[in-house]
Amino acid sequence: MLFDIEKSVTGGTPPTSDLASPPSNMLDALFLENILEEQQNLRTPVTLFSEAYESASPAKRFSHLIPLSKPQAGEQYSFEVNLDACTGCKACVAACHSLNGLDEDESWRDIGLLVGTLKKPYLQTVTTACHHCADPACMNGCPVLAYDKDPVTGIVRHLDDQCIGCSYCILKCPYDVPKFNLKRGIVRKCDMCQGRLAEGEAPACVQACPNEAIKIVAVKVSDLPSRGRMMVGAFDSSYTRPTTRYTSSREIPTHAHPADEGSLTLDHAHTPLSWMLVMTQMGAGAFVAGAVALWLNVLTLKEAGITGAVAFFLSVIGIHLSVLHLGQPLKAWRAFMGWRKSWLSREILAFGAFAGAGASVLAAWWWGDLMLMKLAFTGTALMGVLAVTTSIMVYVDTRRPYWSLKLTTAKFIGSMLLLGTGLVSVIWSWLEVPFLFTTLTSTLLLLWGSTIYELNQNEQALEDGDSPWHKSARILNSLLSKQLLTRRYLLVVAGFIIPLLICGGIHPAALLTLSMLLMFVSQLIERLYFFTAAAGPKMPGN
Amino acid sequence: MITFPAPTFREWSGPLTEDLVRDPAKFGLGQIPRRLQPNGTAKSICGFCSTGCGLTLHLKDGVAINATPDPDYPVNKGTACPKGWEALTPLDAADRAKTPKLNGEPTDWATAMQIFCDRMKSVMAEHGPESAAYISTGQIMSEEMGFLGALAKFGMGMIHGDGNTRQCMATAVTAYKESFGFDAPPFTYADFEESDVLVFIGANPCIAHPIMWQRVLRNKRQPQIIVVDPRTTETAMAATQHYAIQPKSDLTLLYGLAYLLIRDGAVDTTFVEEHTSGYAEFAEFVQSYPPEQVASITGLTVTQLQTFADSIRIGTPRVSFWWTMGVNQSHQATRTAQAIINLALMTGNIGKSGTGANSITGQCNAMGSRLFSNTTNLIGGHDFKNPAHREKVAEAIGFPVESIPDQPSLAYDQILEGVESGKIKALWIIATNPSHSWINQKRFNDLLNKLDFLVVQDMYDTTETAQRAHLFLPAAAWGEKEGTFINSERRLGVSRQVRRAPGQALSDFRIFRLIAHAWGLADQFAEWTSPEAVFQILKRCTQDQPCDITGIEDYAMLQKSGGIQWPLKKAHATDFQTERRLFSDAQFFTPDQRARFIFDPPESPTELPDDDYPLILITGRGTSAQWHTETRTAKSEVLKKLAPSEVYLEIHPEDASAQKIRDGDRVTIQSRRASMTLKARISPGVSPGQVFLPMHDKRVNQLTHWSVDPHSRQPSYKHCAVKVVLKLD
Repeated sequence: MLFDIEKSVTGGTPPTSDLASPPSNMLDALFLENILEEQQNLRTPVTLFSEAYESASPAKRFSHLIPLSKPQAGEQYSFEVNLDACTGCKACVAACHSLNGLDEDESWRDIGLLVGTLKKPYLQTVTTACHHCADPACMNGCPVLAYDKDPVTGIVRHLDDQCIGCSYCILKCPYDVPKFNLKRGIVRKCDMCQGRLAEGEAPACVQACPNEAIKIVAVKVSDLPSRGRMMVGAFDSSYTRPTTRYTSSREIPTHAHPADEGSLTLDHAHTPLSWMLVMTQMGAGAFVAGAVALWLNVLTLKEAGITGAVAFFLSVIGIHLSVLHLGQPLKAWRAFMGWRKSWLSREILAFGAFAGAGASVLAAWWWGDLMLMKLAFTGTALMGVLAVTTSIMVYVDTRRPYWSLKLTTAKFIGSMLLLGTGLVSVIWSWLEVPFLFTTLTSTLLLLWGSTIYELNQNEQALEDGDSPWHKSARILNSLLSKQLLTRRYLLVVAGFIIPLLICGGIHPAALLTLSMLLMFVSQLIERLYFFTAAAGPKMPGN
Repeated sequence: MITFPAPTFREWSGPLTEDLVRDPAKFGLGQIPRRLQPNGTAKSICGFCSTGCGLTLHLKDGVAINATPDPDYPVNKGTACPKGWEALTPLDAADRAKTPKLNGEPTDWATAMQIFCDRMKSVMAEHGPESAAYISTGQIMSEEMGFLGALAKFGMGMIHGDGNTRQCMATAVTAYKESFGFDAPPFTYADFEESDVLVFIGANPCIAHPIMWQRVLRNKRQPQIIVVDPRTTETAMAATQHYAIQPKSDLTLLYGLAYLLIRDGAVDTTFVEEHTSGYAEFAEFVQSYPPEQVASITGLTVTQLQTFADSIRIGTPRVSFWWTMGVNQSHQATRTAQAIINLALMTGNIGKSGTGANSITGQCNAMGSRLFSNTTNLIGGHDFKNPAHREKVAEAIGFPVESIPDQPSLAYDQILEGVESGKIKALWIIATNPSHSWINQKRFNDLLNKLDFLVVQDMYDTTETAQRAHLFLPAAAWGEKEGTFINSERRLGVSRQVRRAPGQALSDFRIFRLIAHAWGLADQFAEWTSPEAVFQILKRCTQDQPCDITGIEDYAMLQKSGGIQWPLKKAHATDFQTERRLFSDAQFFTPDQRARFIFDPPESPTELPDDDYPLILITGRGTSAQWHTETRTAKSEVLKKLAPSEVYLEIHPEDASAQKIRDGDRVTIQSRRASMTLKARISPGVSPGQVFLPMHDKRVNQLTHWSVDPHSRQPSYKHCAVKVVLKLD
């Protein structure tokens, strides 16, 4: 082969042509060095071409796109988007990123697409940022008051240094606006470039739009719609009363829908929270079962003490696991501050009380008084139920369809009773408490009942296209089918095979412990997809 | 980053808040985050598309740290599309090439240059000057194109070289040359604002040229916006009239419109008589295109055709016609472009405000390539075959006239066929990624394997083409070098070096200098020391041509003037308008100064749908944030957010239901050449019998069919037969 360009085996000298060609190695080393150096030498005539030209400053160029004065009483600033002028260039997203110095993949504006019905073509790009709601769900949910709604401008600002990175605002916002910033362990979001507005300069996105589709206007808060939707595919406005207004001279077709409507994606799995929920519910349930047993006088002080200690220990681990999902755990001490509005604050307070009450059980054991034990157990059980109720409300309050009151209550109370009775059954099997058989029967019934109920609800929502959580059911069916199958297997093993073996007389305590672990795993799987299949609402996507 | 709490209940400020604090910046930039405060700025022209937007680069100690649109530049007036905003991001990609590579292994420049010269010389010594060729690009600066063309042809002695502009603009070049006597897009962007009727044919400026669309929306004359496109695109949605014709029936439609305009007395007979030739034959020819027949071929109704023609008639004399890839990438592209030109000529809609038969170009310097790449045309829009032109150019560049070939290059597809047949043994590909973008990609990649020597010069060594190279040369990118671009409206603008290139990467210009030296041509190229020096050489080459730019003094003048449109003769150097259009004197560049009516009967596309492959595949731009093979745009996380996370096939509800395909289902699309599996998106935005794929996915051009327009030799990307079936898992 004449032109063998394999590298020379001996290295060093490159292969040369065996043909009579002119000498080619004429590149002198100095020349090469100069060229390489020249490449690194920046000689752009900065001073020559960098005169400031104040006439063109953004404050002057975009003044017609922002209000001339501060909002009047009863008014606030809002984005107004002219859909007719928004033709899909998406510069607003890039400009938000560049002019605000955001992270590599960060922008506080997003872009979506509405597409037509099956019969009529339709395309509409939708640009969307924070809607600076009149009643901001993010702010209402924040346990540390890291959100501030400016009393004059109405801009919903996030206080980055106050944030503990709990992500609850992400779950609360129905428009997917606050975004978790992993590098900093906090959430960040659009502040309508309030610093720019204060100086009479338009926000980055407003400056960027070639067609002037985005404006800042002052709106009367009382005029904000408290019904309907801001835009096709957007969440019900009654929840937060968003202020962004989309205008168009053309009517959006009734059946237009977000282009990404059919796409199924998993939401963030809040693994520490899944553990925390399942463990605390198990602990609370154990206290409930223990209290019932105590009032039925089937437990000795010691048996109650051991039961309480185990339940307390597991609950406290569960409570502390939740700290793992915080981006700024050192600031978590402020988590009570939002108690007036935030169910998360209330949950944190309730779990504090629950843990405190649990400690009283240990105290009663140490004191050695059965009556005191009964009262301590009952008090702890009540605090436990209260805490689980606040957990339920934390999720129900996000108004996500999959986290409906009915379904969430069934799941959380179900877990509490199932794992609570299961846990005491295990403890009592080792302690050889005869009441075990009553709790064991309840566990089995709860296991079959709750699992079948939950799986059945999924089936129904999958078949019913109008079900509010049809999308969650589709996600479960297509992306989480292995998890569902595993839960079915676990049901058969824990709910049928193991009880059969126990009836056959094989080491009941060990088998019960195994069964309990399997049930726990099953509930944990459910709680993980409680988050990942939530199909959180958002504005139309690509 | 875990931070400690302050001893207060609420922390209104702190390090995390500081991170985003904005301060007023100098240089008219408004507020800028504190940590991105520049201490200087530079002006540059964006290196993506042909709109040619001006960017203000924010410099910290001479190095660009951010980019914003230039408010003073007459093209974009302070706006940019996302690619412009993100212009600097691709420079920081982890996979930037830092050293030359030989068979995938890093090597040094001295070795690389020796290998380059030895191999190329060997091939050419053995097989003759036609056995080595180069493939240039529309993405590098004019000075670099000029250097490459002169080096390869006049220095190294190659005959053949073409550019990726063949894939986008060759049709417009051929059409203009034949019709106007020179490759002369006549418009200026002000025409968008000054038209009463804008007709967009095979163009989707809303997402492909968003900053041009800005000018359309600034039109205060309440214009009719007419879009001819088989798909309901963003632009079709924004139009006042949309004609979703059958794919590739555009030529018939245009002849049908000519028929109606003649019948309805819309012809500007004075203009036609005084300034055109061939009209009588054309008028007779279009008599075979009565509305009933045209309606049946295009899929439109006779009423629609009449409305369309009436709009042109009523809008005259302020009707402008605009076309892009839908026309250029066709099996009969040149005649289609000329049919558009014919409509403008017959109604006199040319040379006046708000008129023109206007080709919107694709790449940032496709227009520079048209004048200076030395491929089809001899530098400066000259003719290789013309001895006087050869003499003139030889004198302008100071080379012996014998070094100038007396024949133009083979076209891109012919070069590839030469490779396939074994006639071309060495290929040098610069700043383009045909292993992804060439039509019928598998055949392309197979034929690359036949080469004895493949050199690829690019800013990334990870492109599909670079990975096939025997020798890879690492190039500095836009922003790491300087030079001029020419935009769609013929405006020259300067782009600046504001970043250091990674590793040993060198600007294309410097690579050409190295090669010239290594080849033994140092003396011949002694004047070619810097882009600005070469700019002076190029200027000399344009003297007395329609594209004469001898009136442009230097880069400083270009910068100060907000770019300058060609022509600018020396005589007008001190007195010219920022926006100028051609042919206001109705003097065309043909020998008789008359524009020509050129026409041929329409022909069928080469691959029609049949029972086995019943659907037509149309390809095109996905979103404004994606550029060609995405070697650059995919390096920006922000740009990636602006496109769907995975490619999907658009299919009409009827075709989908026939195959039991639901929205989001996985489907397999198959052509005679390849198949690919992806998700379907059911959309009536495509017509029944048609499916659409964005061109950015590397598998798409495995499906497409290799056919070219016979005149422009531009590939017909937008028409091939496919079938789509549900993918059963």
